[in-house]
Amino acid sequence: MNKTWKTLIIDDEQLARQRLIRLLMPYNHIEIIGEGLNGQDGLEKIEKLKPELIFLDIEMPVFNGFEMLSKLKHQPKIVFTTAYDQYAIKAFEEGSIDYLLKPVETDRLEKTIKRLQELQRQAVDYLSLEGLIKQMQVKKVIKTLTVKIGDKILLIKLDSIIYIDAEDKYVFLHTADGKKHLTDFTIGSLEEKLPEQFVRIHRGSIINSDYIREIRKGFNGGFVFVMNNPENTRLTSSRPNGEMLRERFGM
Amino acid sequence: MNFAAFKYLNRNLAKVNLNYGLMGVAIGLLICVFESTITEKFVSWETAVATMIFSTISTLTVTNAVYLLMCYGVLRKGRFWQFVLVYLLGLVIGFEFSYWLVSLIFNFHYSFQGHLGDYRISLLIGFVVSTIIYFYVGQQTALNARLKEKELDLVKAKQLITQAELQTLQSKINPHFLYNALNSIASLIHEDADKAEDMTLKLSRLFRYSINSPQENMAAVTEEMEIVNTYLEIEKIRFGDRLSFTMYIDKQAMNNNIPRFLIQPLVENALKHGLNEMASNGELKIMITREGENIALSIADNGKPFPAELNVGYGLQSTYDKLTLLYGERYEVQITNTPEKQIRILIPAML
Repeated sequence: MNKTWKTLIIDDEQLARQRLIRLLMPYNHIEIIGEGLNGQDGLEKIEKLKPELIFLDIEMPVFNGFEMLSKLKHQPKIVFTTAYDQYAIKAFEEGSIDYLLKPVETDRLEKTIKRLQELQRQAVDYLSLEGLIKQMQVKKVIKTLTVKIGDKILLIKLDSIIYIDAEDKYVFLHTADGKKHLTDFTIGSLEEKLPEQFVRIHRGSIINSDYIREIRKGFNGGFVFVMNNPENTRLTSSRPNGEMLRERFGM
Repeated sequence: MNFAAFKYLNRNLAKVNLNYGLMGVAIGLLICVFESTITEKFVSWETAVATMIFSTISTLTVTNAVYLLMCYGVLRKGRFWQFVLVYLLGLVIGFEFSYWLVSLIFNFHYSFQGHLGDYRISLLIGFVVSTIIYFYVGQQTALNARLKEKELDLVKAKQLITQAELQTLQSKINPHFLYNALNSIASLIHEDADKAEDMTLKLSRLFRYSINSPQENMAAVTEEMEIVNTYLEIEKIRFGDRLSFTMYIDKQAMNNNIPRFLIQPLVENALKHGLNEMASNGELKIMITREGENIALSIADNGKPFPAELNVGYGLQSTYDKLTLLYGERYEVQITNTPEKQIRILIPAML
């Protein structure tokens, strides 16, 4: 005879909870002991009711599914229910954690119920799992920088930026249309943020290597970068960067 | 010929005469210089004046003959012999007029028979020159036509690209949203069949708006707000009391058009990033107002404020792209947390 599973359903949508309860009705050994209305409520109910199994939504208010799991002391078996697309979901399979895609199909649910015994209990670092999924979702590299002019927000496309330089305390983005935009970012933070084609050649300047017209040898072991804009802007690299730049541009 | 066309012809005729008159003078000068170099002494002033008169007047008569007959449709493109004939006719008229003028100035007797012999060589040269002009002009116009066609193709291609870009930007309702809505319907069918039906209809209305007629870039303010309303009602069925929303359209903005599907992605963002973390009392406010020459669209919520470093996702990026394609630089996006958390877009009011 099958063992009875004390089960908790955690989802912020009432209709989604109701549907799952209805779908689980035929399984006599699944005993639903309660519902969590969001991440926080779910956390409290788990600690109080000590379920053996939870069906868990991911995007929820207060704590999302992953945050909630990372805070748990009691460790039930977990089945995720989510409308996330397959790509993100792939990350789960490693830990043999089960997941159901919404709208949940009855056949798929039956499979999950049959597999319950095999499900590992814990042993997964949920926050790193969340990180992994977030990474997969936000894999896109940044393509734009935002610039504030009063309340007005401009999006500056990275491939329109020719170079970035600092004048006193202010950092300017110089774009292909000949404009310059004041930004709140520091040169240092931009260096970290921006993709490969942006190279810091000096304490106070970053260039877009796609816009280099010419590189000349300067004095004191530095280089002079002539940029591919109508003004043919010249930017000088500092000596400490020389080795890196030599390597980077194969000089 | 109507009056406007006549005026146009008049103005152009003056311009053509001025241009070719100058050219005639230049040719006359060239001939004088040429003659001087060959004979190795300056031509006499009488010869110079006569040469200038001949070259200027015959250039003008030829030009006017060709131009006028072309304007009145007698001389058509692609008729070689006709062109040569008109050219030679102009030349003869010019020559006769010049002979007459020269005879008046230098006071000798004007007679047609007297200079008939000159024509043998003149007409031959006229024939050669007119042939060259004919083929040169023909080629030039063909080239120009081709260039113009290319330019037109380019403009058309650009328009097509813009249209295509707008289309791809337009109809992207998050699949997430669809799955969640369908899940709600699957649940509602057993709980409340009427509500399930209602939600199905709303969903199809939303998708009809997004999938059908993607060629339309603009929509009436009322139509667009109607769709946002439909979208929000679906979300409200999902989220229940956690979400409430208000919509307001300024009377003066009511008859305007705004870009299709401009508001929906921003509302989706507000729900996703602003209100999703609120377990209750999420409020959303959408306003369309007229501000002078502009239409202001505002989407405000009471959820999590915008982060200091804005994370530009698909929704915001596509909004900027759409606005740039439609308005160039004539738009403005404002993002503020105080006094109210809102995103505000200013676009030119177009009826």
